[in-house]
Amino acid sequence: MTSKDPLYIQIKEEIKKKIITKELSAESQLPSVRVLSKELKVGVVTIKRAYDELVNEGFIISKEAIGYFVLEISDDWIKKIGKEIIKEDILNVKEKAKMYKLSNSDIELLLKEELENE
Amino acid sequence: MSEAIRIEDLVVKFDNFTLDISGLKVPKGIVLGIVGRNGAGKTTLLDAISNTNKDYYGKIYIDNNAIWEDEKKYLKSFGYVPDTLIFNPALNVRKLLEIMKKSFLDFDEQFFLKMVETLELDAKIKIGNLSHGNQKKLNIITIMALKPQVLVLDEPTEGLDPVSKNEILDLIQSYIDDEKTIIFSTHQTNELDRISDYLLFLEQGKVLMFDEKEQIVNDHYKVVMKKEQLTEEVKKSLINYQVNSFDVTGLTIDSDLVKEMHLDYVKPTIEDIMMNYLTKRGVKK
Repeated sequence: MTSKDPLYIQIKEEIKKKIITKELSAESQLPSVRVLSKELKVGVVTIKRAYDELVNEGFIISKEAIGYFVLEISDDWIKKIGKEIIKEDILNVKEKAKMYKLSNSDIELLLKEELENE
Repeated sequence: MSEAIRIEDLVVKFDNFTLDISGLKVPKGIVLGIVGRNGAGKTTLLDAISNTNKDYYGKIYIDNNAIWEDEKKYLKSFGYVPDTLIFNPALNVRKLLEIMKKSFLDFDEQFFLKMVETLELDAKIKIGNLSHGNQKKLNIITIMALKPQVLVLDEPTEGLDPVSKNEILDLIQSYIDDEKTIIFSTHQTNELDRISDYLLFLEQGKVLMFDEKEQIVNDHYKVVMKKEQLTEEVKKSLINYQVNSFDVTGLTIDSDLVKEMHLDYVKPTIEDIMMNYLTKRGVKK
C-alpha cells in the first residue's frame, strides 16, 4: 500500500487480500467495528467506511445487529479482479519503460524471461 | 443520530478575540479532535462547553441536556480533564480514591483500581510527586471513573513520552462505545489524528473545517507539478503551494485539476492539510 490511499482504503485492501487468499473463509464473521478500531488503533468511522465499501463491492455482507460476514467469491471473479490490478501494474511498467527508453520488445523479452524463471 | 454535543449560534467575546460557531452537531460514539493553533479558540470553546465560562451567547446542549433546563443533568453527562493537575498534590492515590467515593456515589472504584494497576501508578506517594505523565493519566482515569457521556480532554498527550502517549490512546479507545463520546483538543497534529473519527479545525475563532476525518483526507490531494505548470489559473485551484528547486508541491480539493493535468498526488496527512491552510495568508502577502 502506498500513502496515496487514505487509511480506510488501506484497511479495505488488506481485508480484501485476506478474503481473496481465503485466509478469511466464506461465511466467517469479521471483528466488530469497535474491536477492530481498537486493535488497529484507528477511528471507528475509518473501520465503518472500510466495511461499507467491502459491502458495496460484494466481498462482505452486513447482517443487522449481528455483524459483518465474508461472502463466497468465485475463482472467475478473483481472476477478474487480478486482471484489473495487473493491468494497472502494466500501465506503470509502460510509463517506466518510456522513461528509461525501453522498447516494447525489450519489455516483452523481460516479461518472458521472468515468467519462465519460475 | 442522537448528538453528544449540539451548539447553536455560539458567540464568545473578549477584547481582542471572538469565537463564533453558528452550528455544530457532534454525533455520539465517536472521537472528535479539535485542532488549531494556539489562540485559535480551542480552550475558549471547551470553557464554554464545560460551563467554566458562562459569559457567552448561544445555546449548548450536552447529551440533549441544556444547562438552563437542568444544570445537574448537564454537568453530570460531562467530564472535563484540563491540562493541569486537578487534585490536591498533597494527597496520594489512596486518599484521592476515598474522597472521590465519598463525593460521588457512582464513582467506579473497580475501574479506577484496575487502571491504577494497569498504568502502574504508585498509590502511596503524593500525587504532586508523580511524574507529569502519571499525573495526566491519573486525571484522566479519575474523571473516566465518573462515567460521563461526553469526556473532554485538553491536550491529553502534550509533553508525554511515546509509551505514555500510547497508554493514553488505549485509554481513550477503551472508553468510547456507542453512547460515549470523547473530545480532545491539541495544537499538535500527532498520533491522536489516527484514532479520531471527526476533526474540528478552528482558526481565528471560526470553524475552518468540521467533518469525518476520512472525508477531509479523501477530499484533499497533495500534488506535485513542474514549475511551468503553475499558471495563474492553476494557482487559483490550489489551497496553497510551495515552490522548491525542482518542482512545486501544493494542496487542492479540485479533483478535476488532478485528472486533467495528470498530476502525481498522495493523500495528505492532517499536518499537511493544517499547514497548507494556516500558512495561506503568509504566501499571498
